Amino acid sequence: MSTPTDSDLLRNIAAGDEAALRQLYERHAGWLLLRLKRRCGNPDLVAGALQDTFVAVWKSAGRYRGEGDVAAWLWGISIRRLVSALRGRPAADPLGDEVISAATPLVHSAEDELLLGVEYGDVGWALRTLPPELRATVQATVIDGLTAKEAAKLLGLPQGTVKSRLRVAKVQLRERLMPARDGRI
Amino acid sequence: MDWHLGSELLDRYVTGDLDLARQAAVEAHVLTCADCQALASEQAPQPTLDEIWAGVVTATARPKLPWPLRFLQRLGLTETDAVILRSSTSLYRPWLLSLVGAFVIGVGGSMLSPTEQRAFYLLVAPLLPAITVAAAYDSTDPIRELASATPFSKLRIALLRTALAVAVALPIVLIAGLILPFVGAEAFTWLLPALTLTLLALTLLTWWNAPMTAGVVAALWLLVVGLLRSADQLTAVDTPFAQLAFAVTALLALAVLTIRITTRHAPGGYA
Amino acid sequence: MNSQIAVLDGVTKSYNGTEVLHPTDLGFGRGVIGLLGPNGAGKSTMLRLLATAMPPSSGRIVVSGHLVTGGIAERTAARRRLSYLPQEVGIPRRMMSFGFLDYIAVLKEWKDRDTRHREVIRVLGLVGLADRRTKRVSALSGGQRRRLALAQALMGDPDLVVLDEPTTGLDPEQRASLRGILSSYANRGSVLLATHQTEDVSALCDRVIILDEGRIRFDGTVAELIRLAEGQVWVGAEANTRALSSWRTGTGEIRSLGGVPAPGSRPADVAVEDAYLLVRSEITGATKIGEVR
Repeated sequence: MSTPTDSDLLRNIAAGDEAALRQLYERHAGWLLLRLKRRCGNPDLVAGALQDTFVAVWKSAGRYRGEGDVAAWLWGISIRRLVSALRGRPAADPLGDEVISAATPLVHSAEDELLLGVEYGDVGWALRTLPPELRATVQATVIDGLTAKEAAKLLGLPQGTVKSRLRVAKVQLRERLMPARDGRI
Repeated sequence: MDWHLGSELLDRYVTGDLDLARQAAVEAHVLTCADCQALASEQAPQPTLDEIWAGVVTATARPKLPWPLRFLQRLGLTETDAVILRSSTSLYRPWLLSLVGAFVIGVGGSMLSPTEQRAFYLLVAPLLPAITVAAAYDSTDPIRELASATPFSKLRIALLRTALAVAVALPIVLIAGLILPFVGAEAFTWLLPALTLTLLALTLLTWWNAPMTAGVVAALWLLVVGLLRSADQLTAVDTPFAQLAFAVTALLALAVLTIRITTRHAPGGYA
Repeated sequence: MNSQIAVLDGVTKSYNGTEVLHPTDLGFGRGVIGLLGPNGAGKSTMLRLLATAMPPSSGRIVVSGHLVTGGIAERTAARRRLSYLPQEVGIPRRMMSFGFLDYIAVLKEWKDRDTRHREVIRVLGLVGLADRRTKRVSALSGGQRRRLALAQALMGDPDLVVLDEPTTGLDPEQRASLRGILSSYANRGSVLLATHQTEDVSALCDRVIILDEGRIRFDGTVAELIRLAEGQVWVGAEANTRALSSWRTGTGEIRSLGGVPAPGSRPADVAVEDAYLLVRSEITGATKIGEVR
């Protein structure tokens, strides 16, 4: 008997298999919990978001389109559940379609690619030189794949502030990366 | 995969001791590497995970209460009473019964002669709440032996079911009566007989099962309406005397019901 | 009598003039008590009476110090301390496993929703149905339905657990796990079970009661029951026509019960089943088992 893949599990969950949900939980709940804790200091909100994530998976596993990583899909749901918990909406609120479809895997943009591949590379250095408030914005948008609106809720900032900080951060990153690049070529 | 997470790096991630770039690298790696997902998951507190899992289990298994019950809960219905109502009579059954009843009145009535129409409405309308209550008992009859042995008040169950049956059946039949052109004053006349028949059904349920009870109540009411009809006295139902008689019968039924329940006999089981 | 959790005092039950339980006095203390007897012996009647699922025709019944044959308040107090698995539970088919147990838990006065749901999940796990929690009853197999019915009897911390044939529909592993669960309940209270499985009795019961036609025919420990049959069970190579009952065992030898031993046979270890069959044959006066009844 081979181990089922995450997609197999989602298919079984969609067919109403509770044991598959348990298996998916055992694989992913741990790291999701750790990562959510890095985004929010309130343990109750984090626990609520994680619970809602798997309840949402149970109810809408059939909507997973089978593209991309299940892990990224799960993280997309989790972070959005956290955002909506921060918004002060009741935690039991069923997950709307728009949230599920927005939670499809992150598109790996050029910036992401740089972040993914290198641990001690130029981008790391460049990110480290960003002022803290810009870093949080970059994390919420580029790394967590949130929209400016969602990032604003997560960070408790006006949407306009998030947008302008992101602009500034991108300019700074580009400036700091360009010379390094040129030097190498 | 070129590299995997080391325990030192992971520890620093968990404690929040990494700068953004390294944190992002760890997270990006975990997303794509099943081994490191497992490794990272070991760092998560198991009791917290178990507690959250218990929450997931109940939230996925818990049947959602139908909206009318959720509405009633806002008005003060307790959660346990809502569970009693949900489980005993799937809500749509009384709805369906009442709608079918109203439909029968409309279609059946329109095929009859004008005098028969009134008799027909008067025959069917008051029976609907009584039959709805009986249906609620019929649906839980297979577990009556089990339910008997539980401490929950049987009187409370009876009253809850009655209230629900009346609340559902009454507006539907009332609206049908007001809309249908052939129904006149009877649109309101039937209310007190309906209450009487419902209480009578509950009382009889302390002796008999639901189908028997529904049959007897229906036969009794058919007899009353039939007699009035043959004596050409249908309008008598509307007289103060008749309405008083219904009220007295209702009170009598309530008294007998109370006595039955306090002397071991509840509707649908051993009190 | 302080240690008695449930007491029957001159209890009888008649249906339409037929007495199905003759005047019975019994006390039940802590431990597992097995009720054996043929179909129609009055086992279910006795269990129903103890579980307050129906009133006796006469006599007094006390459960956890409450007189259940008294007023409704006393009966309600007793019901808070007992749980019951009827012989047949026709769970409405459209109910979900979780929903059914939730409903019964409400009837058992578990008021707080979260505590109640935790308990429902716990007993679903006990009977191995945790992965069937969202299934409708109509989607469960016969054995699963039986286990679901059993789960409700395991809720809470009852003094008296009344189970009518709890092991029917269970496979050997499930039966073994149920035995483990029941012995943990028996540490705190009284577990009464009616069964046709004599292995359950030998594996689990501190005390055995054999009923027949509404009367108690035997009441004692498993060891006492077995002692009744000592010297009456043999194994040998030859067929035995003068025994009460004899059959070929898996080892190829002939095992015989009662009557006259065949030449060359030797005494065998007595099982509860042997003793039960012998007690039954004494009641019916049969000279051959199979002619019984």
